[in-house]
Amino acid sequence: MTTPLALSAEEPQAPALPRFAWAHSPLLLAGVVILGIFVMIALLAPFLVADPTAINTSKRLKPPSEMFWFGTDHLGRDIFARTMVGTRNSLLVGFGVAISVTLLGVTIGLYAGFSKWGERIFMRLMDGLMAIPGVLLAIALVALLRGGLLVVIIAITIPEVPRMVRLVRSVVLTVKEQPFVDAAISVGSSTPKILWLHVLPNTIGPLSVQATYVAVSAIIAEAVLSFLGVGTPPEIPSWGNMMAEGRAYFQLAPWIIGFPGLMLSIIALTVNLMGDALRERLDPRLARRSGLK
Amino acid sequence: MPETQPIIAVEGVKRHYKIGWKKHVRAVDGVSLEVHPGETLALVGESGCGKSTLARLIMRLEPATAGRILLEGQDITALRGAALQSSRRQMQMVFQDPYASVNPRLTAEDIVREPLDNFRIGSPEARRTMVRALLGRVGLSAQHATRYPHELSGGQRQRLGIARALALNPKLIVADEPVSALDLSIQAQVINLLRDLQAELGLSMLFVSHDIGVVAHVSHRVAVMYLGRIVETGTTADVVSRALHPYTRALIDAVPVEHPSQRRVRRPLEGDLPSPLNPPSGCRFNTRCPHAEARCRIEEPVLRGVGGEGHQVACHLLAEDGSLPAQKTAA
Amino acid sequence: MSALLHVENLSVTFGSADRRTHAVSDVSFTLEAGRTLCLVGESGSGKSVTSMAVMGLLPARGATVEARRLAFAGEDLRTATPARLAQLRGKEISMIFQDPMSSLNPALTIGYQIAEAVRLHEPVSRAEARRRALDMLDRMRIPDARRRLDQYPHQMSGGMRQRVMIAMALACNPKLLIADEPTTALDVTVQAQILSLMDELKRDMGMAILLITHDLGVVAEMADEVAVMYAGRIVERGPVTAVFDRPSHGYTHGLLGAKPRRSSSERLLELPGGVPRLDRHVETCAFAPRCRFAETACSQEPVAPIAFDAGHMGLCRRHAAVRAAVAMQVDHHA
Repeated sequence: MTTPLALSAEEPQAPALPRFAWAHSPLLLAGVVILGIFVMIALLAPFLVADPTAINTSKRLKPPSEMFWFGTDHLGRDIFARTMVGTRNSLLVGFGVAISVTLLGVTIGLYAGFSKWGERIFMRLMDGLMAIPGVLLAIALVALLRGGLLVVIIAITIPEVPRMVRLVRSVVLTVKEQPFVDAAISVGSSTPKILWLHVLPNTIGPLSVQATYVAVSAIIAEAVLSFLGVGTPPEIPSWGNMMAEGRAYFQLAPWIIGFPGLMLSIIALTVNLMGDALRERLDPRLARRSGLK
Repeated sequence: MPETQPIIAVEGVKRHYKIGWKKHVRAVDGVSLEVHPGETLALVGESGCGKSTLARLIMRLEPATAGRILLEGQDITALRGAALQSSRRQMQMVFQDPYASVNPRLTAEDIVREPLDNFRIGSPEARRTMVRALLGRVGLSAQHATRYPHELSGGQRQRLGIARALALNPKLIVADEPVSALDLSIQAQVINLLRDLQAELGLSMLFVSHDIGVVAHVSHRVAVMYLGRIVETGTTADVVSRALHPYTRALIDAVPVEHPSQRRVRRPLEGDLPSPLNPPSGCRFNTRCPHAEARCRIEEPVLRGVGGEGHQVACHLLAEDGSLPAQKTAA
Repeated sequence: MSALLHVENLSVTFGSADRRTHAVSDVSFTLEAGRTLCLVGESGSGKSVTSMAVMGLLPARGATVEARRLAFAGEDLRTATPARLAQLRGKEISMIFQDPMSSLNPALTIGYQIAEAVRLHEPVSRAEARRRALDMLDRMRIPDARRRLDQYPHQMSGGMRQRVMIAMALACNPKLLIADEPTTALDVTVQAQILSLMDELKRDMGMAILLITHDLGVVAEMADEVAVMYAGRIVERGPVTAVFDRPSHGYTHGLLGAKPRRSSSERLLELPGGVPRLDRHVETCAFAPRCRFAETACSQEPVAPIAFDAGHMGLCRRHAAVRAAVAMQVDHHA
């Protein structure tokens, strides 16, 4: 026999916190596995494939074969090797931008959500930034600072920050109105503690979803910038500059542009699906609906 | 009551919200009250009367527009920073919604421990023991300590909220509708718990409620609010069974009967609550009062003593013996 | 004598075989024209589900409704087509809910919405429907009704909206009104207005009311008969005075003792623990673990309906002990 109080099993009604049960998220599981494969490729490719920069003029524009799985380009370079090595570049940009956008977005968003002055200054600044077309800003920055991976990351990060700041701020404003924040103030918790312990953890859900979308658009933006010739320098193989170079030979050798394009599509789709799956897991309303199915 | 220093004294406090150019919602509009040591004062009224805002003003969760709030004689209205922090130790709040007033990502233990950590009370090990004792005090067992709020029932969460409020050993507990979200059988448990704690620990309590029945069970004195002002105050027995102000009478008359044999034809209060944006001039109740006269529309009544034991009513028409002029029949 | 609403052995379960919730078990009651039956219980007791099942409003997928009999004015609701049910709802049976905002369309004037409710079920002209809407608002004692007709829901107070909801529900003179916690979100002074209005309309129109509430005060105020629900079952049922004077189930006794009364400041009676889960079907008394009168048999042997007096029945083998305790309390107070 249990005591009556312990036995009191009034139904807890609030949505259960997201406890990861992979079986309930096949989409998320698939996404993580595919992304894992890409990360492995990015890490190991330089040691496993042929030299991606080796020029072989006798084997120019060869179609896919046993020797060159993805064919060769106009300089006789191995497309397979270049595509695999290019993965690293894309992922670095994707993760790099997602992480820096999240860090900046959270810092500025929390500040803007909690301080009147922070709101006035930063939100106007963000409004201004949002009015500038992202790619244009990136082109200007790259032109100003010269190429390089870091510059590409910075260039893509800046136009992505305002959206993240707005998201964080709106979530913070909602969480701030919750009685448990009043309760924390009442028991004498300092503002930094309230931000860290009560507000931040409750913004993680929408934030991580947004981060996945940022990663996707960063990977695509990198390709676009490289395609336009202002992104990754040509000596480093990246999907974007490969496609730019292959553009001229599109009718003659579609594989030059096709394989990096295919990889780009797969990774964009994967991360997008992961974002959707995460959103479904973390949004109680959506989770409940899918639970009823 | 002997001349003791009140735990909390509110003097002419106002809270106006600006909602546009020269437009103000007068949520609390000139309220004075005192809570004495070991006493429970109930703040009663309908939604929009300003009772919850007043509770938040006292807790310094919102700034007062005018007036003073004194905690044991010390003016806390303008305190900031460390001084405000230390005054918070003396007063703690219990919230209405047991679901929203605890952080869903912390365990029961973490929630009760937070105030102890904030003021570095005892060693970290001692705090652990204190948390267990507090949980036990409100009727939660050790096995609840490691649970998350969603694993607890509404009643258990409200007990958790009470344990958190008790952690700092405050002198005053401000309870804002602490049982209105609970089922009847759970509500009785929490009411009894609050009563027991109040008596054993000699706490002072400001108990905000819309439910006259609940108030009768927990409070020593009652203050009735209407549109941001106190219209009547006195001992619970006086206000609940010998209500004098026309609004208090209507409010108590509207409470459903306790037994089917007490059913009667009643004349419910007509009309709706006027907007606090533009409250009626004179007595704020004059638009719905069946007794209202010309004077009530012009001159604002102040609280004055009628009968014994600090029974005070803000009404022009009330005679010394507590009688009101005849109701005007509808034209 | 034939009852307007006849429910016999109604059971509702949710979910699939592996995770089943027994929301309502074996509920039976009848309701006659011009009478008010209150279904009273705490959250999760099954009172709302019972009314939804009667109205055929539970989702076909997910909810399983079984009943030996489910009849409205002699018509079998179990075999009625969805079209017929839709026709009954609104015309013969109306419902009002706790939250008036969720049932009113914020984008349409209330005059239009009431008139539409009329026109949906009766072949009347637009002008006639509008006149009926105006008439209903007047009857709801909404001041300045003509102007109110052209207002939108957000321009009205909560009490006003609830009155509009009732006006809509009653626009077609239904025979049965199902009201699910109609005053729970309202202040007491507004609640008093709405309750006396409902009572008056019941008398004038001879309509039956099935009133679902958690508030014993509302029951004392409104009910002719009461059915007390706990964990999906009606544990006690009878005329309102009999149930209040001679509660014969441990749960009813507990609820009445737990209710704060303004006429007393004594310590409230506590019901220990909380409401049980409904994930398995129990034949024994679900209240036994919390019951001060319980004996071993209560949690071992299945409960069976027992008639206490005329029309007063329940599911408590310890009813004699409960009544004795009540009688002692009465003596004590006298």
